[in-house]
Order: sequence, then structure tokens, then C-alpha cells
Amino acid sequence: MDAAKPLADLLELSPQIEAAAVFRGEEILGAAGVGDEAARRLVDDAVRLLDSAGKLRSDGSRVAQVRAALSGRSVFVVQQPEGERAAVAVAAGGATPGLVFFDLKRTLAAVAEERATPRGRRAAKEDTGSAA
Amino acid sequence: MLRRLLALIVLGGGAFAGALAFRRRSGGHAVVDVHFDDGSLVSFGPRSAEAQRLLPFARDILAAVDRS
Repeated sequence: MDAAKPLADLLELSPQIEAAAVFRGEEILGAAGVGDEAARRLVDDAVRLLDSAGKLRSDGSRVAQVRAALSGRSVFVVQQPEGERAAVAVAAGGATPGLVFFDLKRTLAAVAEERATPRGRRAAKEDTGSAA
Repeated sequence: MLRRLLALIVLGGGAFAGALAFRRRSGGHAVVDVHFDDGSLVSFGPRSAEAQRLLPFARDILAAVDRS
């Protein structure tokens, strides 16, 4: 999974982030800080959150990022401009939104880079091969 | 006199704690910020219809992380 390392780095460098996942459509590319079942729920709800937020405007504007703060914590969702990948994270209440958004975008860029390397391309090919 | 004052303080404190608990339960501090790709940002307070639509997903995400 080429998102594993960037996600591990994210949680290590940003202690305020409790859990995070990277996804494309409804496919989970990686998760950290949660088990498989919770990662599935994280991604499903993040997809629904982005969909619902996108319906708030009818002028064709795309949602770039969402922050929902409640119960002393925050949920962050970021979408890449081309809409290929997205990331969701849960952070403690004291987290600075700008920093969390920045870290999530950096993680998405790192995932894209990992995929662009020969090793990442090989892993992606293997993924596709095993899925077929 | 002192007893009455103490009773008043206890009563006031209880009412304040109750109000605080109710506010927390009803998502008093909840807020949703949506950033669009044109650079605009829309912020929704806890009582807005938009936040009511979006907050359940965030609540589910927090619950999933807590259970994990």
C-alpha cells in the first residue's frame, strides 16, 4: 500500500492527529491510527461529507476541504484539486486547522510521489493485478 | 444567612453545569467550515440546516475512531 509510509509519517510528525486515511473514490489507499473496519467507516463517512458539502452550492464550485469541529475534536477532509485522491483525519481540539490541512495536503502529495516512483508503480501494478 | 448564601451558590453552580452539559450535548460548539476551489469559505454554526446535514457524518467518524 503506497499510502502507508506517508500516513505513518503524518501521525508521527503531527501528534495532534489521532487517525487518518487516504482514499480514491470509495477505495481505501491507506489508513493509520485505526483498524480496517474503522477505516472503512472513516472513508465512507468522509465521501458522504464531501458529497453533501458539494450540494451546498449549485454554481459548480468544487469542495476543496472541510473541517467539522464538535465534541472538542475536529474532522478534516481534503480533496486534491484534480479530485483524484482525498484524505480524512481526526485531530484533537487544540489542533490548528491551517496546519492540519497543510499536513494532509503534504501527505496526499507524498502518496502521489510514492506512486510515481518505479517501486510505487510496481506495487500499484501488483495491486491492480491482484484485484483483477 | 450563610446557609442561604451557600444554597444559592450551589443552586447557581448546578444550573450553570447543567446548561454547559446541555450545550455540549446539543453540539453548542460545533461548527463546519467548507472551503471551495474558488477560494471561498463558508462557515456553518451548529443550528444551521447545513451543519445539521453535515455534522452526523463527522460524528460517525469520531465514533469510529473511538471504537477502534
